[in-house]
Amino acid sequence: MSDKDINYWRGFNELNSDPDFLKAKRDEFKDELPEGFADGLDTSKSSAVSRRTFLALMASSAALAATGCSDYREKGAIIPYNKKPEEITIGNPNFYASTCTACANACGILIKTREGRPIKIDGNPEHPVNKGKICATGQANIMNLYDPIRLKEPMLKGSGSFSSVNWLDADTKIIDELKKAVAAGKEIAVISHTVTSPTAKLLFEDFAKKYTTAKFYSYELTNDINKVNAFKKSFGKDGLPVIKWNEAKVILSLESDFLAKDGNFVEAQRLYTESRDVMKKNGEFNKLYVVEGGFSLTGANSDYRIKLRTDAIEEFAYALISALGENNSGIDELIKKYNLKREAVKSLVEDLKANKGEAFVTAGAKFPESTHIAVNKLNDLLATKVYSKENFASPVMPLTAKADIDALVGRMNAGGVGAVVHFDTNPVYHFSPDYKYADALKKVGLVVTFAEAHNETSELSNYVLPVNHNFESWGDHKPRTGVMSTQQPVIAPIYKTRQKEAAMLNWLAEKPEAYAENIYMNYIKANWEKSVYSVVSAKVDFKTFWTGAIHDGVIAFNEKFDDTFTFRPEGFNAPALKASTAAVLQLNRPNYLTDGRFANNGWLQELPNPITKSVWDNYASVSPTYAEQLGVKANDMVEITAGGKTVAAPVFVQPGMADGVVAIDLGFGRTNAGPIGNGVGVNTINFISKNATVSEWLYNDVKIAKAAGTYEVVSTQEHFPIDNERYNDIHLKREIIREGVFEEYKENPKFLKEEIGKVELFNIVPSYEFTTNKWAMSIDLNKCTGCNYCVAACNVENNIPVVGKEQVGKNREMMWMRIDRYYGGHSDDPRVSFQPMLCQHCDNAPCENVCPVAATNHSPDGLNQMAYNRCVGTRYCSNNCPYKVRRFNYFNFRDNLADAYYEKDSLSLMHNPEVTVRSRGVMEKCTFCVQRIMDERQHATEEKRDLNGDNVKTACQEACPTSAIVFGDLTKKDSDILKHRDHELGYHVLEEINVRPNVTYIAKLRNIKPEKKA
Amino acid sequence: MNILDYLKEKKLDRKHFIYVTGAAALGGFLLAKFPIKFLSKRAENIYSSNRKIQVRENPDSVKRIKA
Amino acid sequence: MDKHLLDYNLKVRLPVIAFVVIAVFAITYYASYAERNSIGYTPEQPVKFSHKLHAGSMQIDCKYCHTGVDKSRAASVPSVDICMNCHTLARTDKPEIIKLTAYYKENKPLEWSRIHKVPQFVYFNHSSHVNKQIDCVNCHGDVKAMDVVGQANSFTMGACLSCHRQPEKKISNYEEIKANLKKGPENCSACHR
Repeated sequence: MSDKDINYWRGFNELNSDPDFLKAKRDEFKDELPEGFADGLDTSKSSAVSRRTFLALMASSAALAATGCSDYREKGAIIPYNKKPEEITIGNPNFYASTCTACANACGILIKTREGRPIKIDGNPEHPVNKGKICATGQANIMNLYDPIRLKEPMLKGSGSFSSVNWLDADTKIIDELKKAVAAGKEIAVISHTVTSPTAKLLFEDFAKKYTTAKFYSYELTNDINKVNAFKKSFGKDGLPVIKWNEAKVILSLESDFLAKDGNFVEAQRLYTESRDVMKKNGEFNKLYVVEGGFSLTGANSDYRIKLRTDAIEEFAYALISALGENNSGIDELIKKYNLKREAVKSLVEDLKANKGEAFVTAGAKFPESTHIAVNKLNDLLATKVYSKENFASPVMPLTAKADIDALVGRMNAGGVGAVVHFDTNPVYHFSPDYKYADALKKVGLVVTFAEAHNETSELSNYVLPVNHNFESWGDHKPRTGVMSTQQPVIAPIYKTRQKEAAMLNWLAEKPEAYAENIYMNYIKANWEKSVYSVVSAKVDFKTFWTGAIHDGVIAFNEKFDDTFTFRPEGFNAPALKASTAAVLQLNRPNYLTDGRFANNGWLQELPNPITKSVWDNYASVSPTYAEQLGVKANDMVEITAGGKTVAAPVFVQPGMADGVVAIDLGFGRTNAGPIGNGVGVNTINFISKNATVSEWLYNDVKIAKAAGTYEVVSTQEHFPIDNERYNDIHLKREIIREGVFEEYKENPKFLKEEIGKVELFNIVPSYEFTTNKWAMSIDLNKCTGCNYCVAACNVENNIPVVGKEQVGKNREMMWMRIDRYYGGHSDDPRVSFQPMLCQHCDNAPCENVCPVAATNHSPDGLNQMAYNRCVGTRYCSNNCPYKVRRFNYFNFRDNLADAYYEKDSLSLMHNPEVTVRSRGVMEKCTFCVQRIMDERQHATEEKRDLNGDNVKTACQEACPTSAIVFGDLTKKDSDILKHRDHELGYHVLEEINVRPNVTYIAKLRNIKPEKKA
Repeated sequence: MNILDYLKEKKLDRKHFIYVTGAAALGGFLLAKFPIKFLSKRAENIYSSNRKIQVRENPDSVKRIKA
Repeated sequence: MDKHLLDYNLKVRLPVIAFVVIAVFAITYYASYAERNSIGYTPEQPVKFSHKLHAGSMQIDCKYCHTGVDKSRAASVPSVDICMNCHTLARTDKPEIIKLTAYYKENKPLEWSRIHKVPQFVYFNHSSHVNKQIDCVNCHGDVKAMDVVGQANSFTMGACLSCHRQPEKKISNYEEIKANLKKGPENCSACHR
């Protein structure tokens, strides 16, 4: 305050500018300040720049600085190609046919690329096995191509740490060492996963010709060796039959998860649901009986589910064999001992007898040989006709027997193995700890590991050679006779990687420096000219044939095989596996991580387990009664001891499991999987014994004890207390799920409409008149198996972020679609209902009315739109949504998880360019794939025709293996969607609140004996 | 020090305030209309350093001709 | 005293506030005019390509170079090999052509300064517009007369909507194409996904 400012004065002292007064005025607060605070503070020296001056100066300098930064009208650069590849039209996708190698099923895929980058995987419609569908792992495999942990160049282990080395040096050194090993008479062991490629097998043979001590081993963490061996004993064939599930009227599954894990489950789902089609006039339903101790997806889809502990199932099979011979004593004994549902078992025996020829029994791969032999006998007694006569799944190279692997490890320990080549395998993680493989590796001179990224085995290797991803590689695959699937690269290797077959081929070459990227392609072509082209009697020259095969992705041809199945009683006597008094442990293949190699794939870790709806962990599932007996609740830790090994795991209480059974998934607990996969779950491979008494995946000498501590297992869905009267069957009481019985439907097709009755709904505002086309969707709950492939496809198509376990724990998972799983009945024997839930695009959407900024409104063609740039994050819309399908970006989730792992450069190539990548603070939800709808509009304008609703396939519809999801335009005559919407079994969820949803659900019919209505 | 003292002495009265802000506004307006680039070169360098991943196609792959 | 206060308010405060408000508004409006709709933005390009020469005097059709405009959402800026279609032989002595050929031969990215840009949350579709016979000049101005291309029209959402709502007022060749042309979509998801 300047002394000269004398416009205002409060007293004569001030008016006269009394110096004492002015000094006191400046030292205003001196008396109130703490002791010593104002020492050295002389207010007469303080700055007299007034606030006004200060503000003026600061504001003007800031403004000047800001405007000077750049020309803000600049819009960056636009950079065209220098030499544009002919195939690419910027903005339009290209499709390439290839084969998926995520598991040994080798399904055909179609890879969608934009500007040379693969962005979406779907099944190849031309492929006779999977017919245009691919599983969730195949969908999410796109993330592994761009994963930042991929190795970018070969690594050599120096003293303790890895340093990069170039390929030529690595190749030269490795060839040298291999030659030395052969000279010293030491074995060269090549360890691979299931070999499905005939050309790879030929490569191995050529390799063994040059390096004469080379031996080849193949393994899988979960495999069907027991089933294959049993089939060989019973029918004298190498391999397994192809099952025509669609021709089976009665199916009995003895803990075989054939819809989700065993065999080619994509094909099985399609064929199985062909007989569950309510759209067919007078169609018959098949009947699925499942006898199991755990709770599998197939069990959830069964008509009758008989809960029986896993180690008693072989006895059950033998009892059935007797029952088919009119001796019911075995069955009666089991019913009494285990308190089985008499009705269900009786119905099973009757149905099997009544449907000889069209009945089929299958047992899970985890059972020992003896069980499978019993099942073969059962099928023989039933004279089953569902073994395909067109194709047979004979393996290209059978998996190595356990005894041979044991012998290998023995030789390694004795110093008889000079080199081990891991052919994109991870035995340090996968092998049973009994082998002590890591120690054996130390005694081998040269350890070479081919891998996409560092893993447990590469850490112990001398050379780690980075391999091309599936989409950067050439290959051919023969999953069964008469089907040859091709694999082609759709992108040149992003990093300095090589295809593992090409690298190995290079070791056979005279000059390793002569490596070119196409040597393996030429090798395949040479092999095809000799062994494929000549066999299929093509009418064109080889070059055209090859181009055609690569274009189609598959060639199907007639291949004769011995299609008689005569049962030989070799190995068939009395039940070898009998129930014990201890607990039973079953080790299961995880739903999406295959053998754990996808641990670093956030999308797959976050995809909920179809039954438990849990994410990011594995856990020990036990039945509620058994949990009570053990004195544990959910999330308590237990210690499980099996075969002398102990592992601690958290408990998950699973209604419907048999007592005395513990089920845990394999493929978790990895220690070197990358930032996303490390430390997720517990490593249950520690249980696997190399000399297991029952089988590698089944132990029945198990003790379980409560351990200290708790561990939170996170689920996307609570299972509310189903034994509580208030909540029991609430999904049926609230009519969210409507179900019926097939017999009743046949008698009275309109039973559901009668149940719903006349619904009088009124509107307080006039309804909008839709004049143009109107989009709608229908989901057939008879066909929906709850497999979650639609969710995985939606995630990839719409750039859904991975949020991590902690955020899922707060219900913040970002998946636009979810499969709700409801339990009906009581917890000892629940009935499962699945319901995919997504934005219903309601005509009277409650979310649209409440948005304060009109960010969400309705389009004239029936879509509920979302404009992300208007959204301010009020979240009122989500509050109002009765289906709770709106997801909010509480964080920029990509930035929030694992040190901004998902913001890394390479992952930005994975995004779908047609869909906005959302950031913090905006609400998002299913858009009915509006980008695909707009694409169809564009094509209609280009081709000067009307919009055709059937050309739009939403991502979920494309992915659903059973074609349960139908999408289309309601104004198109005779469209599928119209048939579904007007179907007598169609209903809407929460119809009574008059939001007018546009997703119709077709009620599920269970093929059981109608229950007597009370 | 001299500047501070000078500023201390100088009192900015209302008239001067208007002149100063008006001049600053005019200066800002002119800069906006006819921009002078100060820091744009640095911004460009940051952008181009991100372009390390090269996407190339494979010459032998055969694309699907959609029926 | 009251009179003095009112007088003070009217004579001092009111004009000052009015001046500040008007000045701030005017400055913001005019200073941001160019940023808001970028009309007149004519940046310098790395190679002095003249549309007036190529599209005007030589009458090369827009679609000869901008090949994607009727097939895809993006109207592609032509790749350098399209230029080289002619310029491997034509005018190879001119300094600009020599510059261009250097880009092609050395595989250096040719970074054109972008002129027409809508925000990333707008998904504009060229093919839908071009296939309705809407001529390029309606949005991009008379490019045939431009030596250096500049933005001729506003690219704000209001500008897009005014044509969608009243195409007869905004499209120059409306009479010829009106048979196939309805009003453009007004709903959000047509452009914002």
